[in-house]
Amino acid sequence: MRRKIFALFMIGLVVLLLLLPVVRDDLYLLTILSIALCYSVLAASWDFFSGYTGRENFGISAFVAVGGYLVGLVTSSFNAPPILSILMGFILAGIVGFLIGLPTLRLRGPYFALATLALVTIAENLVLAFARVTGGEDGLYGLPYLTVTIEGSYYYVLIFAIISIAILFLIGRSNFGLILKAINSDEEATRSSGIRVTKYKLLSLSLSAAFAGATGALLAHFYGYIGRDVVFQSNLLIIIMATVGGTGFVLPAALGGITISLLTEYIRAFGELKNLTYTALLMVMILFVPGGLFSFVFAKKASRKRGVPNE
Amino acid sequence: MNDVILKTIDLTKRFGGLAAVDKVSIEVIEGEILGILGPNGAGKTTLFNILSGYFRPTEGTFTYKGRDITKLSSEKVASLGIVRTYQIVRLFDKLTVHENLLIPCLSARMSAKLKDKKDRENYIENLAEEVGISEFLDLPTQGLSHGVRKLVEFGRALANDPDVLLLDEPFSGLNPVEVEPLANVIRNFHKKGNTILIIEHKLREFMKLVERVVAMDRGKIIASGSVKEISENPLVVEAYLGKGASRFVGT
Repeated sequence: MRRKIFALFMIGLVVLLLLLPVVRDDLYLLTILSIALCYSVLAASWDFFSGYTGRENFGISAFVAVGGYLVGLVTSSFNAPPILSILMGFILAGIVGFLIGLPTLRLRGPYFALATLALVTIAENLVLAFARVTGGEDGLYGLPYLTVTIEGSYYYVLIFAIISIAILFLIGRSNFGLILKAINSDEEATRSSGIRVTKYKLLSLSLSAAFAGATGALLAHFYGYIGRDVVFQSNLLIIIMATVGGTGFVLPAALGGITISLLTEYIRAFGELKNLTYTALLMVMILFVPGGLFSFVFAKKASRKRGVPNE
Repeated sequence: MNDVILKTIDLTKRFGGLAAVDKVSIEVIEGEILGILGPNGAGKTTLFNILSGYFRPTEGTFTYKGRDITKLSSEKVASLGIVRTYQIVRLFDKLTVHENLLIPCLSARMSAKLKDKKDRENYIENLAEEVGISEFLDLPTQGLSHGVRKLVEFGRALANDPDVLLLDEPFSGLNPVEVEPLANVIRNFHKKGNTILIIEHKLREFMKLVERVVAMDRGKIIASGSVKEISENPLVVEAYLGKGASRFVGT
């Protein structure tokens, strides 16, 4: 029942987002919604690895950077359509995710999280060190836009988000996702069940990185610009989005991405009290719905039936 | 006489200065139930951790069906058909009973045997029936009683279709009503010709199940033989009751 209502809600939301430009001619709204949709993909891809396997990735921005700065490189050398650089961002970030995962995923305990945290710093320093290619502090301007109109770009982002989130959601619901959750529950017991744990973690991280990279490329085309502010400022924000939405089911994290993005935007009206209001809202959410705003739909309740009468 | 299926040669595991397992050589005969007895700290679980690929031994080797598997990882050992349970039940607590049984079916070894979803569903249904947990299939494992959780863990081990089962204190924490169903499924599994190693620190639990016992103390094997022989062995009695205690036993 809960799931049926949620499915209707999701369909309604998609229809609403698809019809929005027709019913309301509000370019400001379309712009912030486009950005919110990008972040919902980022939150979903973070969730696909960290929410499922329980290994916190504090370095998702590094993968966004791969896609984003790739656009700069690609478009400066030849005139490629955005879809091509998005695809290249997907592939390259996926490969980078795989190569990073190869040594780091063997680390136990908090060391994987620390390694990914270091990764962001390394990525940011690389951006500064190779300023001739990346634009350094200033970033790269004048990149080709997704389409010539804001409505067009909005639809581009919307379709991208729907496809990406749907893919992540479906893989998450498959046996692949189930194995990731078993790893989260008990990695050693999963190994003892004959499952090649490292392979699944690597694939999950690569796919998560690939979607982050594709989104990085998409953002670069959307803004017509890529710089440190676009890429690295939102590193922790993405984790907050996924956590506030709810982890381990893709869709709640994606909805968290939209919610927090819009909240961040509209809270600007509070002026100087912006940060205070923002933090207060987050604390209230974490206190009262610690499992996430939207994950109640999927959460399984512990059974009351215990099996044996003589406890 | 059956063949030796699992053989350890001078297996040793040291943690710093402590030899948790000290030059242990055991031959396990195919199709037998071998009990490994010993007080707490005797090195029984460490031995299982080595055999299941979780620990690498400091010294020594072990072979399975004549093949040296000392350096294999847990998943490789499991894929050969050597599967274990844990002293403290380790289930996938975010998943249902059904999903817990499904995970081993997705391993390379089992997906070769179970081609599609229909095969897997039939297999899991039969298995749940056999172990006696059919009515719990759709429930999350969290919140189930200890007895049922033990059965689910045993079922998950069986789902790997193992040739050798390593059971680490399968009856610990169970009340007498819960012991019998588990003992029955263990017996049924054995009747199919499979090999079982069981760790226990209470000899009484062995009586009904085990054919041969190896007794350990402080990492070393101190005796081996039938349950009766072991229960009368002075070294075993001393390991449990302290030096000199054997004088009072049997009088």
